[in-house]
Amino acid sequence: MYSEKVMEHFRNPHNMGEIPDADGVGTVGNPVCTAPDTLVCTNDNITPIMNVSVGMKILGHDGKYHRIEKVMARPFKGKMYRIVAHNLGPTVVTSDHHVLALKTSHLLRKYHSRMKGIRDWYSADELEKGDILLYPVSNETMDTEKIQLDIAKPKYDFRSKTLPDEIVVDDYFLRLVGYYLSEGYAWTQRSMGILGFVFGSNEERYVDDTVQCVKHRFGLDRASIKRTHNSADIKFYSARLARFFSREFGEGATHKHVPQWMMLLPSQKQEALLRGLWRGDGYINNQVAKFVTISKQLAFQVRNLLLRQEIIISFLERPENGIHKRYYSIYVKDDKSLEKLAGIVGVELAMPKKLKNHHKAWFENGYFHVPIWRTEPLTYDGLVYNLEVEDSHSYASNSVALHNCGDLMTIYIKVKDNRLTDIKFKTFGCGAAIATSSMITELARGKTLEEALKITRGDVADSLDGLPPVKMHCSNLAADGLHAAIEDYLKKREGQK
Amino acid sequence: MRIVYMDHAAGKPVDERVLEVMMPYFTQKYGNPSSVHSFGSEARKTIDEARIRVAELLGAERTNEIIFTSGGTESNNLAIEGVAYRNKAKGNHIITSSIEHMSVMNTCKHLSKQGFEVTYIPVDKYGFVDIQALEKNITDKTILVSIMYANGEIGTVEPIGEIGEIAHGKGACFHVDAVAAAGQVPVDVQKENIDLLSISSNDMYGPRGVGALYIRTGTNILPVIYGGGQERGLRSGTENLSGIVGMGKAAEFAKAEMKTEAARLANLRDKLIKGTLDSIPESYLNGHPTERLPNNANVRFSYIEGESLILSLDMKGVACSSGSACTSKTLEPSHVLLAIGLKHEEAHGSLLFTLGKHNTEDDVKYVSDLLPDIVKRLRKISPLTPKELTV
Repeated sequence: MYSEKVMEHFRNPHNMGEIPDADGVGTVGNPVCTAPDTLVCTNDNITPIMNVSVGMKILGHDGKYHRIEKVMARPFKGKMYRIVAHNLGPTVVTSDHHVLALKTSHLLRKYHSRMKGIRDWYSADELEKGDILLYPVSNETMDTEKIQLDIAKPKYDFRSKTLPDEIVVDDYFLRLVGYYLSEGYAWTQRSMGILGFVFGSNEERYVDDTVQCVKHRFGLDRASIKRTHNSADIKFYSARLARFFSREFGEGATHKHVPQWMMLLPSQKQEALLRGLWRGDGYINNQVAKFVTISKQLAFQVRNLLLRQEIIISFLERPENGIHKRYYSIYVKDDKSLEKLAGIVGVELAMPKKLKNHHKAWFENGYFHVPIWRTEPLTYDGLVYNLEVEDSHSYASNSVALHNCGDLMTIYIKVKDNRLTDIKFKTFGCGAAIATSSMITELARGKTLEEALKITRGDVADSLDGLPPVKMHCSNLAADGLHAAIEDYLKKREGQK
Repeated sequence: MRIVYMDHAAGKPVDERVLEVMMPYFTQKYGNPSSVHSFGSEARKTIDEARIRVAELLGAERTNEIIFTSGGTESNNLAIEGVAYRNKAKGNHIITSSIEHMSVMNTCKHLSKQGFEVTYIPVDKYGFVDIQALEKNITDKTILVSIMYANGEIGTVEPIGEIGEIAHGKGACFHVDAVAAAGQVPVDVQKENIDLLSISSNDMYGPRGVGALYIRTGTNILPVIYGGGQERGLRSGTENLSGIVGMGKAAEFAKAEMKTEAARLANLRDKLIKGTLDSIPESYLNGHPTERLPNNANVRFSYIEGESLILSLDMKGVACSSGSACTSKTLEPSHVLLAIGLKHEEAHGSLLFTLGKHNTEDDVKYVSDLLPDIVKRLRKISPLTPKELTV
C-alpha cells in the first residue's frame, strides 16, 4: 500500500523527539476552530459557540448528545472558510477543520450519482460546491409517559378547578402544546391566570380540538370564547395551568420553546406536537408547506423535529425589516416529505407527480445529506473557538458536523539567522502520518523561513514517492505543522521587539 | 526472519489433505451433477457426500437442509433477503444486532430501503446481545431475527440458544451467521433453535469461494439467484464441484479435530493475552475473557494507532489486523468496537490476533516478546503519551 520511501521513514523516522528550548512550536490536528457566532446544537437550544460552557451537552456526529469537556478560544489571523449548505445555511471554520462529507467527483455529479461519494472527514479547504455534507439527526430517545404538574396553587386562588397532579403525555397533551407554542398565550397576575389561544376564523375545527384536548387532559371547560370577524379567542381560567405552560413552554412569541424532554420523545409521539404546531403557525398545500416563527429556539427545534421525521426541509433566517421582527421560516417542498407532513398534520393533498428534489438532499444512516451550495474563503482576524467533546470528538453546528481530533502532530523548530537549524516532531497516527512528519523535518532543515513556508503538502507527498489517495488529507498534516511552528516563532519574535 | 501469520479471521490456508481430495475434480472428474451420464451421477454422489459432512458438522436432521453457496456473504444475503421477501405478508420487521458482519448489516440496510423495518439491538461492553432489548423489541410483526454465533473481531460467543427461544416464542425465523464460529465451537442447529445458519468453507481451512446455508425443513425462503434450479431452486448455477468437495472434507476434519484443536488454541490465546497485558502498561482486552472464540485475541493500547502497530509487526514478520480505520477507506473505526462502547481513540489503538492451526507456542512467545518494544517505540513518537510511560 505504501511506497518504499514511506516505509523507510516509518521504520527510521528522522528527527523524532522534542526540543525543550524550541524557538517555535506548531501543533496541528487540534485545535482547529470556528468563528465565535457559529451556532451549535446544544441539548435544548441552538447556541453561539462563544456562549457554550463546560458541562453543557452538544449534538455529536453520532446523533447523540455528549458533554462538553473543554471550551477553547484563541486569537487567529488568517484564512477561514464559509461553507454554505443547501437547505441548512452557512458555517465559518478554519481551513484545516474537519467536516463530515461525501466527496463527489465531477463525474459522479454529472451522472447524478452523488450518493456514491466517499464518506470521510474532509478539511474545509478541500470541500467544494456540489460535495455532500452529512448533518447528524438527533436519534436520542427517552420516552416520558407522565409528567408532574408541579405548580402549587397560588395563595389566594380559591376559584380554580382542581387539576390532576400528573399529566399523561399523549396525543391530546402534545397537540395542545403544539397549539400553545403557535397560537397560545399565558396571562398571570397575582393569584389569577388565563391560558388562551387565538385562532383565525377559518380554523374553527382547531378551536373545537383545543377545547377537547383541555377537557380530556385537565377536565377543564372553556371559560369564554370571543369571536371577531377574523379571529376566535378561547380562554381557560386556571392559575396553575397558566403558570405551568408559561414555565415549560415559554411566554411571548419570541421566547416560546419545546422543553428538552419533549425533544427526546419517540418520533411517533412527536407527530402530535408537530400536528399542533403546524395547524397553528404552518401552512400546507400540494406545492409547499411552510412554518414561520419569530422564536429562534423554537425555529431550530421544529427543524430538528422535522429532521427526526426524515422530512427534507429548507431553513431560512429573514433579517429584521421595518416593523417586521427577525423571523425564521422552514419550507418543505420535496414530494415524499410533503406527503409525510400532510399525513402528520392530517390534511389530504392531491399531489401532482413532479419529482422535485430528486437526489439533491436525502436521509441515510441517520444523516441528513445536503449538497454544498458554495464555499467562500475569507480573511479573518479575531477570536476563534473550539470544543472538546466527550466520546464523540465532534459536534454539530447549524449546518455541518465538525470534528476536532484529526491526527495529532507537534513540530519543534530552532531558528538562527532566519534559518531552521534544528527541527523535531512528535506524531500520533498511522504510518503515513509518521512518515510525512519525518519527511518534512528533512525537507525543512537548513532552509530559510521563507523557503520553509513554501513547502506544501504536495511537496511532502511527492518526496515520499506519493501517498495512497485516502491518506492524502487525513495523514498529510506535516506541512501545516511546520507552518504553524514558524508562525509561532514569528509571533514570539514580534513580542520580544 | 521468522514469519508468523496471526490473521486467520481474514484468510486461512487450505488444509493440504483437503487440497489433495479436491485435485481430481479439476482435471479428471469434471462432470456436471445435473447430467444423466456416469460423469454426472458420480459428481452428484460426491456432492451428496459433502452435504452429509456439512450436515453432520451442524447437527442438521436431513441432508437436504444444506444449500451450497459461494461463501458466507452469499449465505447471509440469501437467508435474510429470502426470508424477508417470502414472509412479506406476515410482517415487515427484522431484528439484528449492532455488531453483525457487513454482509448482514448492509443487507438489512438495503431491506430497510425496500419498506422493511430493521431494529439493531445494542450489545454490552463484552459484546453480548442485550436480551432484554430483544424481548422488548420483538413483536408479532417480526419475521426474522438474525444474530451472529460469534463475533470474528472481538471473539464474543453469543447466547444463541436463548435468543432462538425468544425468536420462536414470537413465531419469527431465527438466522445465525456462524461464519466465524463454525469449526471452532460446537454448533447444533437442533438444540439451539436455529432455522437458518450461514457458514463459509475457508474459515474451516477449506477452499475459498464456497459456503453453505442451513435451512430447516419447513422454513420457506425465496431465492436471490435464479437460473437452472440447482440446490432445490434456491441457488441456481452449476455447482462448484471441486469447491464443494473441499468444503465437505474440511467440515469432516473440523468436526473430528475441533475438540483438541480448540483446547490447544484457547491455551495459546490465553498465553498471548496474558503475556501482552502483563508486559505492557495501559493495555486492555477487548471482548469477554472466557466466552470468546478459542483463536481470538483482541487487545488495545492507549496513545498509539493500530495501523502503525500492524506495519511495525509486519516488519518483524508478524501478520495481524486492527480495528483502526486508518487501514480502511474512511476515518471511522470498526463499528463493532464502537458498539461495545469504546471511544474513538481506544478503537483506533486496537490490535486483532486470530490464531490458526499452524501457530505454535513459540509463535506466541515471539509475538509477546516483540510487542512491548514496538508499543514503547510508537508511544515515544506519539505526543499523547504521558511522560512516565516514555522512560
